[in-house]
Amino acid sequence: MKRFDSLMTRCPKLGNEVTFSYCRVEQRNFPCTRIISCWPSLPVAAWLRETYPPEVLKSLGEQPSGDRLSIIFQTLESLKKKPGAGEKGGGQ
Amino acid sequence: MKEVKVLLKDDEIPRQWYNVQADLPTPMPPPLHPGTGQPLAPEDMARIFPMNLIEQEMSLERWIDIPEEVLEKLLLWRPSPLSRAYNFERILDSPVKIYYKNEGLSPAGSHKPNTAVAQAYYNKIFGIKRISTETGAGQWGSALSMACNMFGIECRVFMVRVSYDQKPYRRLMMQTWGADCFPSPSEITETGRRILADNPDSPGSLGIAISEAIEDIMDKEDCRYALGSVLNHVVLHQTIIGLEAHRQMEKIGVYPDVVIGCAGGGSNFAGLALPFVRDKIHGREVSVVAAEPTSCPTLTRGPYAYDFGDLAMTTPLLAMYTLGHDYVPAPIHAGGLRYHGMAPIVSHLVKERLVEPRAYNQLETFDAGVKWARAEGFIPAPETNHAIAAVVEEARRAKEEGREKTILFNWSGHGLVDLASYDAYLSGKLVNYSLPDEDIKRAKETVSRFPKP
Repeated sequence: MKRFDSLMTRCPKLGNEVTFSYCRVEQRNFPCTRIISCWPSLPVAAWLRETYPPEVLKSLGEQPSGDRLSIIFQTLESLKKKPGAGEKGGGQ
Repeated sequence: MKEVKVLLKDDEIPRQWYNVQADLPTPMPPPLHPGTGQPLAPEDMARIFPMNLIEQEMSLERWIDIPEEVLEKLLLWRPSPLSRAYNFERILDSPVKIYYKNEGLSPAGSHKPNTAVAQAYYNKIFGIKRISTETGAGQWGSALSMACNMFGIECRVFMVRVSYDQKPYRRLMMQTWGADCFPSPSEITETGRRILADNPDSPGSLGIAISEAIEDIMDKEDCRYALGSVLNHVVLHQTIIGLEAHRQMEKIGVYPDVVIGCAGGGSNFAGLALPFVRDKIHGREVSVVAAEPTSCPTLTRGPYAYDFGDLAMTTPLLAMYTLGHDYVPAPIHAGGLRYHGMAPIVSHLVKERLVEPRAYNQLETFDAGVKWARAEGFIPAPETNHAIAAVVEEARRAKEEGREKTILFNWSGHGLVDLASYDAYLSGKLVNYSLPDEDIKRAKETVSRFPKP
């Protein structure tokens, strides 16, 4: 798929243009969750199936997929689980 | 001389925001906590937003007063003009009258300051000293930077690295307004440091930037987070656009047949549309159109919007995407809708059939935007081009039907800081790429190995 790396599209998450090479690694070195819909004319789904085992795809699919509220609250949950977290905070 | 602009005087600015939730035919389902699946409670949000904004988020009051201090700031550029696009009408050669709200006249160049100012104010009176947020291309980050500066609040913006490098002007706007803008991943947070340790060249992502912004305010009593789209209170603050437009059209004795806005997170669309949706709920004839990108078909293909996770499932449907849209099968409802970042209010209105979503591909939107710039002068933001593409389509339909129509749309921002996007379009770098025959053949072979329904 690297041969498509220089192709460019507008990223609906960021609001600027990105190359396909970015979409391949957007999710901490794994592909962006929107890579399939953003690149409808590339054989992305087939490549993903060939490259990653189902359990990896499943786990990636469970990551926050650009829904900001999901990302916010998942981040909040993970930070709350850290030792020493949650002792302060709250409103006024 | 023809009248091009319909203006409101300063003292005609709306004094209240409109909350559509009070008029919905069916109530919106409560937002669910992604972790627990239970309805979100105010205390879930209290760690990240001030309670006065959470109250607005949950409010069912139809009208909410705009504080005087907020109005004073909004008056710097509001009421925004309602303009008639005579030149664009001429090139479309169609029996349409086109009116647009020019939200590009705000200091930050878009509609975003309408909520940034309100959010900064409510944080200020709640005693917040610093707001953190994330931004992609920087439209939201720059608006919030300006608003925080107006109310004497510190502002930290985590800007996705790939955008930070590509959009220096928005970063400079933020810095000019006194905000700290960090490329994300940054050295400021543990999240950022961990990612940089693994990959010093990480281009970042919106998810990482959100995580950094949240981490930055966690467990700090006088710090909060701000979001520029999606949430009910953001949509509420944006209704000032539609309320002004309503009054301006009344002034000239005109009412739109079609109201159009571009829908990314949904706030600028909803901001213009909701006062007209209210009319529609009460029986008035008006079409309301949300224009979105085909690459992010949140509304137009919501029920069928398979995402990455579906790849691991046994459905073969997603594989059809490998062969392009011609191969997308007949609609089949997935187990649950996945709305990626669209305001729940907008999704709900689509479900209630009060709003019609339409999708446009990136080339037709830029084509419409360039035509607009050449006719009306103003260069639109790339997002705004989606609304203009919908206007073009609506004009074509009117011509085919031989029917006169009045169109109102939200010109949500200028594109003067997005000229790199125009460069990509004008130099042919943005293309609707078509697979060569051999790739189609190979993809077909791959698909044939997938499970069959």
